[in-house]
Amino acid sequence: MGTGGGLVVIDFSAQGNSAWFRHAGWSGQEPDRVWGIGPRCVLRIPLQTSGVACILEVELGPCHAPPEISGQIVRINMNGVAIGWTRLDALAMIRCEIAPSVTDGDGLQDIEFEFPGFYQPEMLGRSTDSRPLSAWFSFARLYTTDMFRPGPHFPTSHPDIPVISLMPPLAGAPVADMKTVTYTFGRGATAFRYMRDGWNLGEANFTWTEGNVSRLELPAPGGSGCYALRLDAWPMTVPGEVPRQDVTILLDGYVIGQQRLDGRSFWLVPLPRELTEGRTVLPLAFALPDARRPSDFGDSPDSRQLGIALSSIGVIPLPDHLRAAGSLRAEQEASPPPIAVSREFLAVGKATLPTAIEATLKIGPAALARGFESIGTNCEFGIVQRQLGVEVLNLFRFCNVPLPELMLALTDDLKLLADPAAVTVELNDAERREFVVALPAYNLRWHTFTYEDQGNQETLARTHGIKLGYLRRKFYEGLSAGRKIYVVKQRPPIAVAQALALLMELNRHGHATLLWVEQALDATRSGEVELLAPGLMRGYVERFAPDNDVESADTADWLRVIANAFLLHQGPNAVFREAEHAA
Amino acid sequence: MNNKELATRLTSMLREAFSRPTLEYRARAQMRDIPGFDSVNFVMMILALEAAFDIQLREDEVDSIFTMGDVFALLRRNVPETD
Repeated sequence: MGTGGGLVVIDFSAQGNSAWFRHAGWSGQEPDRVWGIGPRCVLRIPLQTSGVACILEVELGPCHAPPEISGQIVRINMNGVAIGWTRLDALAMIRCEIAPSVTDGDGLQDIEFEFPGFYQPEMLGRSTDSRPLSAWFSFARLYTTDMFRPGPHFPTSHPDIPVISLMPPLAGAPVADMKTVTYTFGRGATAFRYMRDGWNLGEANFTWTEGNVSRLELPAPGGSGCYALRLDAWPMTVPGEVPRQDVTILLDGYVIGQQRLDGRSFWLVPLPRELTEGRTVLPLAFALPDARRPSDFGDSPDSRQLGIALSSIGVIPLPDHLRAAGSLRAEQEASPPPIAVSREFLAVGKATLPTAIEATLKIGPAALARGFESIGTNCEFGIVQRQLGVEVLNLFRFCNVPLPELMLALTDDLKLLADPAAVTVELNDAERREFVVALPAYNLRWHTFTYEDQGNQETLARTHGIKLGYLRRKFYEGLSAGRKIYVVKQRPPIAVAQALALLMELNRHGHATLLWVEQALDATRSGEVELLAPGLMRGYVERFAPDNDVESADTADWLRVIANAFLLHQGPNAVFREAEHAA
Repeated sequence: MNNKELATRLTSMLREAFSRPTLEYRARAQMRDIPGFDSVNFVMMILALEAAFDIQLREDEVDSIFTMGDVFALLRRNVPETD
């Protein structure tokens, strides 16, 4: 193991010493290398710098597949401070000088490598490697400049390997007029003029990708700052034959997102600033290894090689308070490490839980539950609030809405709710038939708790139309006020990228915090809540109630979740809000 | 509008919103205990109050209504008091 006050050498080969220094985000040992896994990997190096500058030298090669995938963007941070970035398109040695102000004079130096372009080769259909790979490392050196000078005595491992330096980190305030631009797909829609090869224009309101690669050149956002793409798309599937489509999205040859689509989905893909700043065009490519011809299966006459259908792509600015989300590449397989986790009350039994919560939080369960608002996807949390003694009027409390349709409705600002004529009333097919209010254009359905023998369809349509119009107004007032935590129950689990898309949508109107709740795969996590990004929490319950028996919801489990969400909201999430106000 | 006039007006509006011609104003009476109370006629009541007094109630104000007295207090804060 290389040690010493002024020099540490790390060898990533099987005979080397890297295991001593690899802290997080690494693969297992391979004969000549170790891979970085996911969006970041960290080396923790004990080096006494004694207040002098350091030199960092790292030899690494990108996960890439030329010519389609050029390489990786590499950002280096030391002890939480951004040092710089570069494009890594081949094996190279990065050399950079680190100012004394960044180093920890006496202690451990945390060197973080960020790779926004990591990807799973398996999802490109060329390999069985399902690891989210970024770059492989052969060696690293960190030394103080008072002891050594960079030079030929510290060469690369081969004379042909270039030495590259870092560019300064991208920073600075965004321009004031960052606006969302949405491109729609279909014949004559706004995306048409930006489509290059690999599209089929046969449909009116959406567009299929055709072939294994589809290209699009969108105008780059005008202002400096953090942006993301918000995609609304669904896959070509054939039951029993083609269950899903794997999509890899590239920008200028670098992977910016991968998604496994088995149904319609809105999701968010952060755009690395290194690939958007100073550009006029965003050259996007969609790699679709699973694209198939429907005619190859059954009776379909459609011989087009279809991958995914796109309805819209938005280029959206990330608000200041959500800029941290811009560093999240949020596929499920690479779920980011949480900023904080709250696991209070998990061992507290149902009988004593309300007392324990009130004693700790200084707020009773009912008052606690009033600080949350359900936004779907069914009425389970609304029922939980009722069981906790809370009756509040909320738009989505007793609404059934699949997540993609919720996104569709929100991106349209729920405009149709302001039109009572758009609301319909129908009887459901339950044993005791209930009138259900529906907004077919968004596929939203609300309980009325009025049964066939109790109401009149016409009257219900009129009164519920008025009620929903008011609740729409109240919903947006609440979003603007930013007091509540919005709760979405989601089964099956969704990728962080999908939750981020919802968070961004809510944050168009104020500083909303989103708590999305899933069933815990590990029952011991039931009640736990993670803060994944400012404003974004994920909670776990042991089980959801069956759709036809939401009254059987496990109130205690939900109560633990909202108590832990409250703690995170008052703690680390509040720190972000206060920092933003200070800024 | 003084307190007595406000209470009289509120009683009249509660009777109309919940279709209960004999409903009496009692400050501590829970809104949910009014016969026939549901979310639809509660919303209708809010909208009727806003129209009658030319005010707009904030969502947090509406969320804090539990009793008839809460409605009265809310109106008192929003409607100028006169002798």
